[in-house]
Amino acid sequence: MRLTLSSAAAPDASFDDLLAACTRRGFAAVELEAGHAHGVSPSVGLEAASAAAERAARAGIGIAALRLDDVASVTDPRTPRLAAALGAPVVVRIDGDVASTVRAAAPLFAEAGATLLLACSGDVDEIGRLRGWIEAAPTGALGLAWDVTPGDSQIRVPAAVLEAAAGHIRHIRLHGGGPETMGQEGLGVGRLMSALALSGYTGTLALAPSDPRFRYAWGAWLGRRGGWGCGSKTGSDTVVIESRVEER
Amino acid sequence: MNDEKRVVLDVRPVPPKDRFDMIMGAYEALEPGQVLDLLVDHDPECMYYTLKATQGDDAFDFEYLLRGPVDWRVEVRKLAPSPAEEAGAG
Amino acid sequence: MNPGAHALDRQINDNEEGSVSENTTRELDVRVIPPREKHPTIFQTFLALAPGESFVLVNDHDPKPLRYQFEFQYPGQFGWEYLEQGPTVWRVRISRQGA
Repeated sequence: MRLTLSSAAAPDASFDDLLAACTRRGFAAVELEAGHAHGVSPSVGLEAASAAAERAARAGIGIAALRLDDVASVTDPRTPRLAAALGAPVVVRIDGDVASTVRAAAPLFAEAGATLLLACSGDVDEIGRLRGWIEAAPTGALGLAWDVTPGDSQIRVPAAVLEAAAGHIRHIRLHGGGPETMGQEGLGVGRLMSALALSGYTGTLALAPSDPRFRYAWGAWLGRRGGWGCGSKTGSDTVVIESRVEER
Repeated sequence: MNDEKRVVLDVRPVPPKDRFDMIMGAYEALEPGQVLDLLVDHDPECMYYTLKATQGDDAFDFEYLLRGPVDWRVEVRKLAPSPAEEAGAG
Repeated sequence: MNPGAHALDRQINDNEEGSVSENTTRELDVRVIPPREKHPTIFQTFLALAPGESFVLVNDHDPKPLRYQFEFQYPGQFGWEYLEQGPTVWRVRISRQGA
């Protein structure tokens, strides 16, 4: 299981700052949410994406996932190609009626050799429904992600969630941990971690703030001083992720 | 002079990874007869076992003054010098 | 095991191999577990193992006090093998031994 830092914990941190924060706090990987200051998003070219993946690898940090908030972007062929260049799955929240969108996306991801993870809150009925989509799609094209909040109803029954998911969960986002750990007593975190261990879960577990008001605490915990790179010049060996629209 | 020296250590705000060295350092700095009054946010029974293993069964008393549910307080009374002190010059 | 075999037989075979193959690493990352839940979770996980099985404890400091606790509460019944010893991450394989 790879403990992962979500860019949601430091949305204004550069890609390099995120990698440094991961190293400082012993994270094995980073979850990149599109729109944050790391600059990785579907509008970034494949070369820049590969360069980012390479830079992360040199730092010994994996890229756990690229998280997108617009589910419609999964049917844009650039998205799975970006995922393949990053060496990471795309994660999108599944809310509302998106069956046809996901059905259209699956062959695109299969063709690109990438994976789309469907994120839900762990409701076992919903997982059953999503399992149907996953198992009907080309092998490896689709999978599951679980967004879990300490104290919610699903964290109380982690074994049931994992059993319903039948091994398809590859990524978990936990709202908490980090500087919030000590304040999350009695909310099911211990039982969740034990269930993950006993099930042999080998995916990623990303930590993200449970509330925007904790962002300052996360920044401090990650080693931010004043601002990320505040007052410091970017080094010449820093890769700048350029945002540009790629001609198709 | 027989006033009991009491070192009060509240490790609740301290990150878990820094607590062990802090607690053992405070204990080792005690003279025999002195007390470490430890305040912590979980049952410190692992410290009890650590002291048993590193100091010896008879080297200390370990008494709970508060047993949760949120905070624990134990009074650790040093009865004998720490093994390191014994090994050094008397 | 041929796919047509009865589901119960498949399950029996899976259990004989261990429902999680010993090639699978069980990792318990305690860094995100709140202080009061930490040791109870570790011991609950340990007790859920069958003899011969193990899990890897992942922590941000050397879990020496835990080891002493195992020695007093489960003497001779556990294995303790450091896989990584810092400076940022410690990994210890804790195995369940004996009957």
